[in-house]
Amino acid sequence: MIMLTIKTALRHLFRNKFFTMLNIIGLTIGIGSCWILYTIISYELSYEKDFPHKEQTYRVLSRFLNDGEEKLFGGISKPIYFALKEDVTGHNRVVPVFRQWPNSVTIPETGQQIRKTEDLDPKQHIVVATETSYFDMLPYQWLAGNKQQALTEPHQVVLTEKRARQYFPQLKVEEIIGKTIIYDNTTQKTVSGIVTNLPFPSEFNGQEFVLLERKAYELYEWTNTNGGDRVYLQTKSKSDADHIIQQMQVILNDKWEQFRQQTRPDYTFDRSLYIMPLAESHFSTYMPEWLVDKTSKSVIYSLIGVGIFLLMLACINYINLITAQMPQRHKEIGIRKTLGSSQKILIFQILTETTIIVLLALALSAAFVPAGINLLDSLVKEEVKTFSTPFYFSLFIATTLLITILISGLYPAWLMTKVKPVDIFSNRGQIQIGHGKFTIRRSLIVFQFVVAQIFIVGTLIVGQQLRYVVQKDMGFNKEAVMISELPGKLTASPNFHEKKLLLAENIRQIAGVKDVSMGTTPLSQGYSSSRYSYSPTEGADPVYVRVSKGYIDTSFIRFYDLKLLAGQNLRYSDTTNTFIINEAGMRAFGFTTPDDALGKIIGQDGQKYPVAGVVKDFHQLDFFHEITPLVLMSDKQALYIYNIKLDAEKRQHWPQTIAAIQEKWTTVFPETAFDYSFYDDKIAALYEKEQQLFKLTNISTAIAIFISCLGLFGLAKVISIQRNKEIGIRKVLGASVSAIVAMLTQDFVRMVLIATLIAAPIIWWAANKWLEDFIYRIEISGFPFLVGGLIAIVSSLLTVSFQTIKAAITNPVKSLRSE
Amino acid sequence: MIKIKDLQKFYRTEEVETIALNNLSMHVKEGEFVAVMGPSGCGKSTLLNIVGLLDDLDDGSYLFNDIEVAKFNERKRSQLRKHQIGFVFQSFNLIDELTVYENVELPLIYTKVPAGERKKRVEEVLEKVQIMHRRNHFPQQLSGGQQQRVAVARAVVNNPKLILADEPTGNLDSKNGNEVMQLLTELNEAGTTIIMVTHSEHDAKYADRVIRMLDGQVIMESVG
Repeated sequence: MIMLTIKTALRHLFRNKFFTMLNIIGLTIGIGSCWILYTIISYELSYEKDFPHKEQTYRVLSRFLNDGEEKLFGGISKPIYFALKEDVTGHNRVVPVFRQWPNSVTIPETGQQIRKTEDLDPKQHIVVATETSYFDMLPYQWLAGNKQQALTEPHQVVLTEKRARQYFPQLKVEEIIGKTIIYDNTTQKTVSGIVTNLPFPSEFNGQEFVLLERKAYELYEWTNTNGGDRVYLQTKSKSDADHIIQQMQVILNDKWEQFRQQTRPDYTFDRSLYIMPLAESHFSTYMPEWLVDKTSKSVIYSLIGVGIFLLMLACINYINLITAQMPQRHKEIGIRKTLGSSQKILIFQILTETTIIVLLALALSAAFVPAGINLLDSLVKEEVKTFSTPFYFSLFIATTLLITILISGLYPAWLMTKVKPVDIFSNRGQIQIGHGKFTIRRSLIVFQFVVAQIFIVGTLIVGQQLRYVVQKDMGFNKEAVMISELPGKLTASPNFHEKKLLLAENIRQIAGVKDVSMGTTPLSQGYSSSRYSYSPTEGADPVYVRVSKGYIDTSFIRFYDLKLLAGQNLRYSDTTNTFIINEAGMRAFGFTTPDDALGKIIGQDGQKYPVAGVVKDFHQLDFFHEITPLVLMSDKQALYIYNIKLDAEKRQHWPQTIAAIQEKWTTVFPETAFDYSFYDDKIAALYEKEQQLFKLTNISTAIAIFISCLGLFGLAKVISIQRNKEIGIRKVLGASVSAIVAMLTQDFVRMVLIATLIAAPIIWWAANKWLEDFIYRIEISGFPFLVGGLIAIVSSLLTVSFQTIKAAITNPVKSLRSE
Repeated sequence: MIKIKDLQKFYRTEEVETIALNNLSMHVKEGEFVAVMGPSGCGKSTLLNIVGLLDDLDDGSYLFNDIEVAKFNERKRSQLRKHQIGFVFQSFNLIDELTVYENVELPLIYTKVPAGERKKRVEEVLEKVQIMHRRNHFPQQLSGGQQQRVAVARAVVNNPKLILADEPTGNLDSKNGNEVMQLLTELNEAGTTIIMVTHSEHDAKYADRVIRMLDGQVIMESVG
């Protein structure tokens, strides 16, 4: 019985190759997309997956209150860790993870390996200063050395297996113990242990571990906070953790009070400690941290949503195509029923067919998923491509299969069981499906197009906004500007400041270079900020303004075509002696006109200078942020970025010009390589997430349109079969081919229009929600909706035209003869 | 075997109600071979569908072996159908995806006959209709006459008490038609009751009795 059912199903699928193929393609795309999304999502969700006592582990964070605005910060003041460990009770474990970024590492000659020195990329090389408790907390396996003794002395270093292989590729792990590595040419460490890499994605991404040394902390160090200094807490319960933080807060308040009395600062300092469950940490995108990879929960939910939508589209498509074949199958169903087949058997048969198709689609997706992931390329993290959790994966596949089979199979099966055997006697043969005004199948098609429409219009709007942010006038001229940054390690080299200015002068002399300026780029994330004050009259309360500070040279304003509204450029000076502020700054300090601001003294303790000029506002931050008060000043020591303007007219000469700059660079700084980027690219990179979203919506759109059209194709086919006789009669009565095509087509156009109408408010709402984050944004117009509707109509017309034209040119004798 | 009394059947569309069978009564005895004749639209096929429990009736009584089946639900009808009734159609109605053998085997599967027994019975009946040599062919590879022989084989494989034939020779040339009629006669001689709808006076001659219908009523009966 089962064998016969499977055999019949296979024969049926084989006989209807065309529909079988359409079905498999649709489901392959649906399942494949789900599979890829699952891989991405499961990677993100498996952060700290097998972390022991994850539920009892917390991060200690600093929460600052600045000008009424609350801000979370991932780091804490260093002494807080020692106080937590020594002066506070109630915890099971306190673990410091203080990140350090050495510039270079040297591996002395050992065995056959010659001495080598590597510049370290901060993104890859995080050295963690910690204590043995770190290895108690995390589930590392020791390949060499032992936990108790590996991190007890300041000269020791523990490496992960990955790093050990990199430093000592020729040695066995046991042989690496006792070997020396030297950081920054000065700090010598001896390898005391090697641990496995963590078996799950983790924010504990340090690869080298040294001992955190206890020292006597100055009072001011209780107020310094570094984002790289993290502390983890393990307690029995959340209330224990809260209690610990309360104890600690008392100590902190006391330290601040001492500090305040000692130095009498003119600012307020409002910091409290905050605990975050470790499980939350990977999703805390509201608290950006340097070199910590985070993903917001909303992104994960959206991806899940997209996955479900695409799979549903594929299922709907399957339903449409299967029901499209129904009329041809009525005879078979009728006979089976006449011969005594029960409904159960019939349902079983349809589900068997569905299962076979779904399994084939699954097998095909397995073949295409790796290619698909490569196609997504930069959208998928490198680690995701190799990530796998067999158990959850099989669970995912099983669930997907089951859902797909049930959703796709049950409705067609139900339809089949509705067939009355008597119909096959009376030559009525075909029951009418999809001929009424409202049917399930029509609503499914409309639903498909609603989804497709959401993707299409969504893509258009995201694209519009992206073009807007990249092309909008930033308030400065960024054309043909290239940026080159001096690496931080050079600052210690002799005569650095003289040499960098000399290089600037040398670059200026190159023929293809139009201008050179040193200093912060106008739009950058490199501004530091301070609270500046201004006292309008003697004795009155000062106005405090948080300002961004940019260090520039005298050519900066000319270089970027900034417009000076009043006053003059900075005079050449090695140190700060005057300020230039922007309009936002002018307003914030309470100056009514640019001229009014000139000569007014602003600044902070020991750094108060007159305003020499006011520039027109320009975007110093991305479009998610408003233009805020900005103060530009000269400070020779703080200049480390070359802004180089090339000749925009002569792009063909750029390669020679860049080669010439490189040559000059190498003469002055032979120890580091010349590296540069174009400013346009740097600005575009600020919107990387948005670019990725754009790519993702683009791909989803293509998939959604494709699948929806597959569904339409099937519907067009069945309708032309159903209306075969009507078409024949109309032709006999003299209808032209075009009239018949129009008649058959208008129905589809109507469905697409309905879908467009349903989709519009959904898109409008979602797009507005997304655009809310941008301070500078496009307004949503009717244009993308119009274009989206057109795309949907055109693609559906193209899809159905094949069937309708075929139906329309069929010789009427053929269609009428069968009656 | 079949006692139908005051049978009424209507077809309704939104605007029109058509009477398909109007107070029709008829009896068929076990072992009889009855032909039903009449012009198109007189209700022959509707009657056959009701007798075959494929369609329900609007009013009247239908005793099948003295059991009232008029109010049977679909499940009970299906039970009765698969054990007691075999069908032969004008357009053969074989399943395209199944081979000759599998088509004939199908009713036995639905009545849960064990595999060994199935094989024996299918082969027996295929021999009887002389189509054994084509057992692994698909219907579309056979001639019309051969297809109808397969259909007859399928109708009788379950040893039904009653065979309902709806213009069994309608799509066949006279040679093949005669062969099929011969087959039905043999079955009837072996004890199976047969009710056959036909337009052909020639075919009707094979029957013991001819019922003539017009406008949903029996207008004449004649013994053949």
